[in-house]
Amino acid sequence: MFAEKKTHDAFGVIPAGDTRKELASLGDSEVVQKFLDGEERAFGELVRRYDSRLLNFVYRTVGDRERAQDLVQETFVRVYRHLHRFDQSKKFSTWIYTIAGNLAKNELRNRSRNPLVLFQAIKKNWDADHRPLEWEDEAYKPDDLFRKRHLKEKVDEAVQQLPEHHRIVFVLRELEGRTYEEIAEITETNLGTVKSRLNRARNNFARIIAPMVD
Amino acid sequence: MNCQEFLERYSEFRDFDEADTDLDSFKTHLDSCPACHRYHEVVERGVELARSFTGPSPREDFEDRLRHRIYHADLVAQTRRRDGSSPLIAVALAAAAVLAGVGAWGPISTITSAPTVDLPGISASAPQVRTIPGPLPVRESAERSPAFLNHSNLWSESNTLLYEHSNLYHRYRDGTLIRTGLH
Ligand SMILES: [Zn+2]
Repeated sequence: MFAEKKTHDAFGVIPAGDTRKELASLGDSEVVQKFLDGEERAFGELVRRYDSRLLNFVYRTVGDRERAQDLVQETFVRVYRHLHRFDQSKKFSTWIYTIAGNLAKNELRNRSRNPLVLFQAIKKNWDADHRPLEWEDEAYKPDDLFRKRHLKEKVDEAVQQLPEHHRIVFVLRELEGRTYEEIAEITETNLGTVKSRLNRARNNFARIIAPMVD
Repeated sequence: MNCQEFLERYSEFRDFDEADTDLDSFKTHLDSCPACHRYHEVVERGVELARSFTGPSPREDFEDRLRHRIYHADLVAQTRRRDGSSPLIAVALAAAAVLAGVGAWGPISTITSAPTVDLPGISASAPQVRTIPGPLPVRESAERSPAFLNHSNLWSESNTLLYEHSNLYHRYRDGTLIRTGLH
């Protein structure tokens, strides 16, 4: 998209090398300010900064690559249209993750409209929240199947197996490196809920992947 | 610290906040408990693997598509603001714009670029519709029409008789069927 030979990109004239460097050197809040001041190209910088990160976050949450592309696009559309409403005393990254997280949650909610799916989801959530925290080291050694075959994919599947409300905090903390406060804001919950969900998510994650890990 | 407490407070240890966390008690338990040691190892190794998993990358046309979506979202917003029109009209306008956009950069463009063929105009007139009665009076039961069976010209009216006993007769017996091409 931002190919060197083009004179225009999706969000205006491609910045000359220096301008691009200048935009790239700015913090998020300054790039946001530039955009609000009428510098369309600043939006391209925000897209460059967040497209891959949001895509990974949304993909890990909804587990569907194609849908994740659409949802991240929708996230940017909303950012573009509502950036003037963004409270600049807050962190831009938290705001954009909140938008993406809400879209991902809606997606999951729409999928669970089927009463059976809804029931299964509720049961899965309940089980995950009420199962005693436990850990048994069965001294299980990963067999050749797990050792040789797509270990990373298996671990990725394990993340997908976590119930939705555990998965989102797990991804935000372990894979995105967000603070508890940011996670609370993004998931619109309180700190205590974040802590307890994260602890349970780790416990469930460990139980699922233990057979695969040396 | 016992194993249960270790599991319940594990996140304090993993995301430790120097001010709040008594790291020593966690470390002491870890050193003395193979099960919790293994737990910690599994979480660390699993997360490391999950982080190294290559997720999806934005599609090549990601930003072009995004530009179109923003353009159309803007169009809807502008239409609403300018006209104060109903959302329905705005959505219809946007849908038309989206269709035009899709035509411009989707596979549909190959269809819309096909050559136009001029065909002569088609004129049509409605065919005359006739309602014909059944060829014979409706006979509700054999008992009610013995006269017909004893008709002296029975054989001279053979066509009629054949007709009466054909499937076609039974279809037409209500006398209201509209014929469209049968003669
Ligand atoms: Zn222990």
